[in-house]
This record gives sequence, structure tokens and C-alpha cells, in this order.
Amino acid sequence: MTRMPAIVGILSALAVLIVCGGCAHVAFNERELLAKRIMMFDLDDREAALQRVIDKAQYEGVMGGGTLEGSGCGCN
Amino acid sequence: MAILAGTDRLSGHVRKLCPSTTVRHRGARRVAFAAIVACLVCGRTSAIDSARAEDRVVVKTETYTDSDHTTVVRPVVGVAKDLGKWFVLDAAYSVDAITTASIDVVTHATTPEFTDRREEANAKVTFRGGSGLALGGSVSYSTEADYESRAVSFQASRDLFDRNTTLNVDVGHVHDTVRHVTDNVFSEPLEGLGYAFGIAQVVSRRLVVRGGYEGASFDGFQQSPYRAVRFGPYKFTLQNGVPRFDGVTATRRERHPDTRLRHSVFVGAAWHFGRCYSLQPKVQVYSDDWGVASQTAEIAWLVEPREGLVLRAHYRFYRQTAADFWEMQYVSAPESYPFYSADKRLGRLNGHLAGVRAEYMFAGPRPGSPFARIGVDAKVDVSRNEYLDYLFLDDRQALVVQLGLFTEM
Repeated sequence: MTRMPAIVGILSALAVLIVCGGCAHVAFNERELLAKRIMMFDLDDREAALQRVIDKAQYEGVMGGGTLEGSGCGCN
Repeated sequence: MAILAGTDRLSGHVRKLCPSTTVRHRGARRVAFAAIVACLVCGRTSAIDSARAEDRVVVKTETYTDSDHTTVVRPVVGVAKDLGKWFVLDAAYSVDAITTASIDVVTHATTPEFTDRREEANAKVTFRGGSGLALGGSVSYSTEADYESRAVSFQASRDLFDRNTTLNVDVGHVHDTVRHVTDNVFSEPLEGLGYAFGIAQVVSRRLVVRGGYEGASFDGFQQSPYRAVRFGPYKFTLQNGVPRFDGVTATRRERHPDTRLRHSVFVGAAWHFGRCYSLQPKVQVYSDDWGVASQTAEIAWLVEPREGLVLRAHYRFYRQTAADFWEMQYVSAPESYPFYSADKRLGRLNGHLAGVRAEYMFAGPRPGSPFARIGVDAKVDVSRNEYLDYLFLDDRQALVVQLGLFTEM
């Protein structure tokens, strides 16, 4: 049960994000820096997918990359 | 178009801030903006992350090798293509060529080494409507000698508050079939339902935060058909690579619960600082009803030191508790345990991963070239997993090397 506070904490942070979504406003013409490539969370979709295959074969708790993908990982 | 016009007006100012990373041409600006929109829409929580303004072909090859005698060579080719004004098709095909003599194979299989080949194909169509709405659908199929997987998923995202906020929702279903390479009769199904939602929020001109939840429920065969669990107060020794067990009272195939409910939440950010740098921290917490809980913390540092060149260094720490039914050694009779496992991934473990990545996009096209742009990338990752309670292996170091070539047309 010690893991539940962390999950609740992060979910609370997400709720704050949603509630405060309308508070911050950056105009379109102020987003030049945000549009830089170094601000992308995943530089390459394929690379991220390959990393997920490796993670799936090694770790139980690294999810991400969308919902269910093909579950085979060559590790059976 | 107002967005692009605004970007144009600012480009001169940005050149003063960061002269080595000037935006090269209007097409590049379109691509950059499309990229950030797609990025805001999805982060890593959505599959609608491939909508681009230009057709793209990616070819990659990856080699994984570790100290547990496993090597995987993995080529992949991907294509993204606009289908008219509203739709984008994204498809990929990859092959994993696996050779292993890992401790799992040595202690549980009848052969000292085996090879396998896994193929995966997936396709995704994304509809990009007006008003920041995107809808997507994807299918995936993968097969190997003893495993087959079919998956379908749907994604939706919506921009709000002048595109300062983006929400996304994903749902998916997977149907797997587990087989055995030496038992033609053996065939067990595994069904899974996945669901995720995420939010990305522009906080300032330099900061984007994101977060999300991802859950999945599984019902079916969730253990290895090969791994066996040994019972009794046995002693294990490894002599010249040959395992020896003294005192084993019984042996059974793994037995895991048929159902599993998994939850994962994360928060992360991308912060632009200095002239041309960014930091991307992220934390993730995972929990499931088997008793496995994990925490992941990672940080990435990116820099664009000159036009077209992007460098990234990253580190990730992973910590995991064991499943409730997982034990280092099952000393009592098999009948006294409802479930038992020999899977080291269900035990306590710590993981470290560090790596560097570089990509370079060459300057604009030559006259007559069918390619708008061509780029190359390379990545090197090293990792170390510490199996804290696993009897047969203390740790494993791995090296991943990846090379890629991509073109935009």
C-alpha cells in the first residue's frame, strides 16, 4: 500500500494541470522556442518504439507509448 | 496560417538569441511547428504522434548485446505519408533476430542456446480535423516461433485554450496466442484491454509540462511455457556454465494468476534554457494487483550546438518491488503455494540506463533531388540491471547501438 500515495500524488498533479489549463496562456507568436526540436519529448517515434520493446523484455513497470501494442517481445 | 506568420515575425529575434540554430526556410518552420503540435498532442501517452507536414521514410538498425549472452539485431523501416488534406498514414515493419544463451535458457531449457525471429508490422491512420481535433486508429501484428499478437487501438486528442492545452485519450485491445516450440498442441490465449489519457500544458514561452495515466487489464496465460520452478531447500551452483541443483524436491511449470490489472502515471516537462539547451525530467510510478510497484526517474539534456545538429544525453533510474507470490526460493511443497514464478522480472530489481544520441539533418535539397531533406542519427545506451533477490543472476549489463537514416520528401 506504500505505493498508493505516489500514484495519488501524481494523479493530483494531473488534476491541477487540468484545472489550471486555462490559466496559463502563451500566444501563438510566442512559441518559437517551444517549437525547437530540442523541446520534443520523443525525437523519433521509431526509436521510442524500439526502446519500448527492450523495456518490455526487462521491466514490469515501464509502461508508456500509448495503449496496448503487440505484446510479443522475443523473450518468451 | 496566422500561427506561421507569427513564427516568421519572431525568427529574426530568435537568430539574435541563438545564432547557430537559425530556422532555415519556411518549410522547415512548418515541419517544426507541426512537430511541436504533434508533441503537445501526445507526449508519450498517445499514438497520434506521427502527423507530419511532409512524407517521411526512416530506416534504422539496432544491436542489443548483454552480459547474459543475449544478442538482438533489429532492423526497422517506417513510412509516414500524407493522404490528401486530412489524413496521414504511418506504417512500420521490423524484425528481431535473437540469439541467446541466457541464464533463463541455461537453467530451464533443453538446449544450451536458441535463436528466434520476431517480426512486427503496424499501420496507423490519423485524421487531422480543424479546431485542433485529431482522431487515429492503428493495427499491429507481431509473430515469432512461439508467440503471436494482434492489437488494435484508437486515439483522440483535442487542443483547448488557443492550443495551450491538449488532452488525449487512447483505448486499445490486444489478442495474443502463446505457443511452445516443441509442443504443437500447446496454445493459450491472452486478452488485454488498455486505456490511457494525457494532458500537455504550455506554461510559458520556455516550458511545457505533461502528464498522464495508463492502465491495462489482462486475462489469460501470463507465464512462460518454458520456465520451471524448483522446490525444496536446494543449493545452486554454476560450474563452467553448467547449472547444478542439489536438494530439489519437486519441479513445476510456472504458475501465475490469469488476471492482472496494471496502472501507471507520469509527469514530465520540457524546459528551454540558455541559448539552445533544454532539460526534460520525468517521473513515473507503476503499480499492479500482483504486488509489483515501481518508480522511474529520468532526465534528458538536449542541445542544438549548430544548425541541424541535435545532441542528447540521458539517464534513467528504475526501482521495482517483487510480486506478492514471487520468492527467491520456494522451499515448501508446490501445493502450499497458489502461484509461483521463476521470472526474474517479477523480483526486486534496480535498473540504470545512460546514453547519448546525435542526429544531423543535412542542409536543404539540391536541385532535382526528390528529397527535401536527409538526416542521420546514432544512439548508444548502456544499462545495468541489479537482480536483488534472484538466485541465478546478480546483474546484467547491456549495450545498445542504433544507427538511422531518414528522409523527408
